Amino acid sequence: MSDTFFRVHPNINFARVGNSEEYYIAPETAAGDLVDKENGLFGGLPIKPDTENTPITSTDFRDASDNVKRQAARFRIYAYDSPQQDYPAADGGREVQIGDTVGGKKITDIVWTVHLANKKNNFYKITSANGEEEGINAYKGINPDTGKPNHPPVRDASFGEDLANTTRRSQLVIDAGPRAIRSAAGAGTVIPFDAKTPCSYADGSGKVQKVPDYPVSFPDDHFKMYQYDGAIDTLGELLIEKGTGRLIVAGAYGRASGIIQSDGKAPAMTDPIDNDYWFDDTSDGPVNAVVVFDDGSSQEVVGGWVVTTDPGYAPQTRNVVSTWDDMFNTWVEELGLIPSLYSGGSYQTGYQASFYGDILPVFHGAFLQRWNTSLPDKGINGHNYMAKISYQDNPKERIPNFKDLLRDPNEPNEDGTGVKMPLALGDATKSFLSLSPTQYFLMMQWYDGVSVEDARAIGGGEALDRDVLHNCLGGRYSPGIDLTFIVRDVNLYKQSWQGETGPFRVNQQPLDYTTATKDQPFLGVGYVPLQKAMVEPGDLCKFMSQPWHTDYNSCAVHEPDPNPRQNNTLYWSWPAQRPVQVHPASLCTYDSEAGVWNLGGQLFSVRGDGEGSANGTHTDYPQNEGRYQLYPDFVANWHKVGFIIQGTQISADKGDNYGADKFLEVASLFTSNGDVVQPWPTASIGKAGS
Amino acid sequence: MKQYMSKAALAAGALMVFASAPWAEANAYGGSSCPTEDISNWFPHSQTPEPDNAGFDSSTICNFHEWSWQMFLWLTQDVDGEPRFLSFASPYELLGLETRGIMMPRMGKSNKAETFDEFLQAGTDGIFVDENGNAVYYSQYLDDTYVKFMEDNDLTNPDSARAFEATTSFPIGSLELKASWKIVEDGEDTDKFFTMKSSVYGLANKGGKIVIDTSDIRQVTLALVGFHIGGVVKGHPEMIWATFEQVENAPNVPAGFTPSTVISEDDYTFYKAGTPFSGCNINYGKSPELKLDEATQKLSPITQACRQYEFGNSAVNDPKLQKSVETNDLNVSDMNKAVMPRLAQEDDVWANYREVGAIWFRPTNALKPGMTLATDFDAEGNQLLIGSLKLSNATIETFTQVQSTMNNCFRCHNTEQVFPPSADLMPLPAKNINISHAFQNIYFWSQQMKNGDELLPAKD
Repeated sequence: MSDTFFRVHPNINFARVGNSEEYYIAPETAAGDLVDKENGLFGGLPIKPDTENTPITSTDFRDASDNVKRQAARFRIYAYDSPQQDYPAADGGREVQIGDTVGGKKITDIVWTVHLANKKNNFYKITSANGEEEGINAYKGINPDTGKPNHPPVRDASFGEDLANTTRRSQLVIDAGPRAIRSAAGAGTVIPFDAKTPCSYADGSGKVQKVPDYPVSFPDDHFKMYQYDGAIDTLGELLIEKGTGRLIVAGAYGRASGIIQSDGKAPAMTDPIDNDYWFDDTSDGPVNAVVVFDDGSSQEVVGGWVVTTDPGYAPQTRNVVSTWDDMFNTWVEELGLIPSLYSGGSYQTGYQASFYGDILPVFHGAFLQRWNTSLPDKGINGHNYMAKISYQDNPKERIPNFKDLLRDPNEPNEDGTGVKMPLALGDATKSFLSLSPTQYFLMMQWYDGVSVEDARAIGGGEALDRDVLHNCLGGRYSPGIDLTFIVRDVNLYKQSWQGETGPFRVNQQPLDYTTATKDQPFLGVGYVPLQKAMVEPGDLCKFMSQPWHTDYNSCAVHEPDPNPRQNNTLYWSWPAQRPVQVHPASLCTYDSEAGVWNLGGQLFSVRGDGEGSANGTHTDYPQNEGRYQLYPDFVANWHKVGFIIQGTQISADKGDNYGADKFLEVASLFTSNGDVVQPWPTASIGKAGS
Repeated sequence: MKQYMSKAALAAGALMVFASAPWAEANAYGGSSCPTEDISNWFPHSQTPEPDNAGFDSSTICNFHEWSWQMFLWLTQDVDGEPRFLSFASPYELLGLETRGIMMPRMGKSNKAETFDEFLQAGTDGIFVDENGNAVYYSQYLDDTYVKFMEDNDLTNPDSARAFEATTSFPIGSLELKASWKIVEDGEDTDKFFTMKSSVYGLANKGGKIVIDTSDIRQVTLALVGFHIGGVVKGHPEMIWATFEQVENAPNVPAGFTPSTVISEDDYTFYKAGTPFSGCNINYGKSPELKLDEATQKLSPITQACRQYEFGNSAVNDPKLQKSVETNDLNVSDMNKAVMPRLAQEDDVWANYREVGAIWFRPTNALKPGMTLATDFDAEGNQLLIGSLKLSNATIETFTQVQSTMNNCFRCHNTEQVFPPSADLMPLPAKNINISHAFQNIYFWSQQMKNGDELLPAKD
């Protein structure tokens, strides 16, 4: 055998819930990247199933019954011949499939094992006892009363406050257990993560082993549940992609259910992020594989991770700060990823930023925000101006006072400066969002002329790792949509990355399924921020809102927290991931003279049905606009929210399509126009006539 | 320009003891009655002297409101049959244009108002629709001092403007004005308005937007409903920004309102009796509900305007500001009481206009390039802005009266860099003279003219 080793890519990938049986494939290009210069198509679009990279169109978000299709995560195996020393890896690797030859041996099968769980209810709340969302700061220091590390209050404390308690681990954790699937089984093989389907895993030789005694746990096993759209009885399924043998992981259906209380009713759902007694069917867990060769030998693959989370309502809108940007920053500053960029505790002034890799994507992220917000024309023009800056331009001419424009993440005084960019909310008691320190440094390098035009060369596997995370929310983890502040914690990762492992890999806990017994919960407490415990299935999603719906609903616009002196202006939480104000394609008008589609007006993305007070989203308070006023109403209606997609992907009876210059809402099932959208700024009212 | 020495200036000479401190606390916050000078020489209105800009005394809040009222009277004084301000240049004139819409070279200097083309409010692009369904139009004016400064420094040349010294400010006496005009319909009583025959461009639906129709010039009678004055006086290169309104424009929102509070049981020019706060000042500019009937030129929905702050201040403020706010509001109220009856005695139509308020910098000569003016305080937490800290004109900034990011003149009139309205134009670096949006517009228009482009919409 050669020294060839294998890795799963993407390193972390994202499935998204939907209430349809059908699915599309998670995007493998990054939002904000211009992927087709001919027709102006931007990246971030999901992929049609059973295709290599055909982007979906506006008709692919829903099935024939208008149900929301799920987003499934696609995983591949890459082979590498040289141990990694640097990032990006000198050896870019190559994808391998059944039939490929590696080191003189032919691959006969790839046997995958995935384990999905949801530990949201057996963990800590997002909000600390002081009422603040403190992010990782909530886990810093030692509690003088207990002598143990600090943490927020426990969720579902009526079950006791010890996360290791057997009852808590048995009843409050949704654990579907492991499932193995063989690529050789081919398309059509479906292995569900439900109670009926036996647990299984691939052993080191690639043989599929049954785990009949695995303690699978779903809420209805333990409680009488109040259900929306049925019981939470599955976390999704595994499939094999037709023709490639790649793994497809589809998540569940976006359900929420609550433990019926002593009064016979559903539990209260009144908090934006922490609702005791409620469950949802999001999940996460490791994705491992064993490559089997024609000589009977096998080789284990460096594993990845899958997360199932909220639907992707605006897949092409790039977050100005993405999950990738936060993760990359952590690895650059704390784990020695690129010493020529950062070493000895400081950024290296000789490091050249890449215009296409580091700079333009941020500007594109900014200019795409308009499609999910309601910016005045001045703001739209300003963002468009930035997006048209080229490498040939003199940055100092195009942006005379760059530091006055951009919030400096290294200057705490700028946290409360509402006039600087990005014009969005921060997290963990920072009022406003700032670029990551790495992003900011690279921006300033470009501004000072220390840059190259092209993006750095990167292998296909590492590009997938990066681009998938570029499509996820960063910067404002309160708690977020896809992942949260834990991406800034080095304890989440396998830190010894050089060699076979590679960077950014989740520090997955090896699981010995031979020890599983029916009467004992299998999973432990698992990962806790700033501590050394390794990462188990369900340890990533447990930091997110319970259920996800309430957070999605509430995160339209807010005042900053803390609110700067005199401020009453409302800002967006996560417009790239959670559209607030949108341009429906149905309101566009065709200009036959010019041969183009013109924008119509804007509506709220979450706008309900019915008029006036009969519409559950109606409010007279701007700070509450664009959401249901009662959380359960969003749980009942989340599937009606429309999707934002580039005009090229929306076919039209005139002019072929709506044009590459627009990103429009399609497939909304809401029947009302809702409250009137007014352009930014809007202000909170209700504080003594403020 | 003829200068007059005001009594305030004379008083300032006697009060040199305060020269080392821009404010004497007793005068600033004492709540003394206003006016403090003898204003009898302002009347009759036909003889109101020009304020002494060069000798301006910054020592009391009252002085700023005296200047505001005196300037308003001087600007509205009848000169050759029309108010003085109508003889001032428009920003277009500095570029030799008749109007932006038709890119027509001017045929010599004219005292006749051009065809009005501004109907979008600054900042949020809102259209202020009156009770008849007509858009309210806006016009801008620059005085000779302003114009001469622009010409002397070649500031209509974008290259010169871009390279202009960042710390140089507009000279004392420079004025930048903006007026708001309601179209008068047959049968409307205009006794209490200044009116004039003029022309406006009609409106059209084009490109998914409501735009001016340069082929449709409509002869109309316009009634003045709002008036902004921005002027440089000694010690205040940031300009004193004062605003006036016709008294029947809109009702005042009471402190402690809720969305369901009915703001008035009476009709106003821009308000229908019984409208609750939730129906006030709604900007339909981005909503599909906003419609223009091209045939009738009527827009809908109608805007119900409510004046959020009677004198440009809310009842509750940062404690550091409270005393100056109380003094300011009392001074404005007293000035209105002092001046308006005198005008009424003359049976002067201008008796129907009142000062809403004015705002300026508390320290003197404090304007610097790159000031965001996003809050009322400086970097050290000291009060920077003073006067009417939430000053808006209900007819000019209808939709941004409350929002802290746009709730007074300086939120938008600052000295930050300015990005262009389209990517093929060069930005404007941070400069003191960026305080003037007329200057900013001229800078971008002059580039567009070089490019042969149609001029883009103006800012206020």
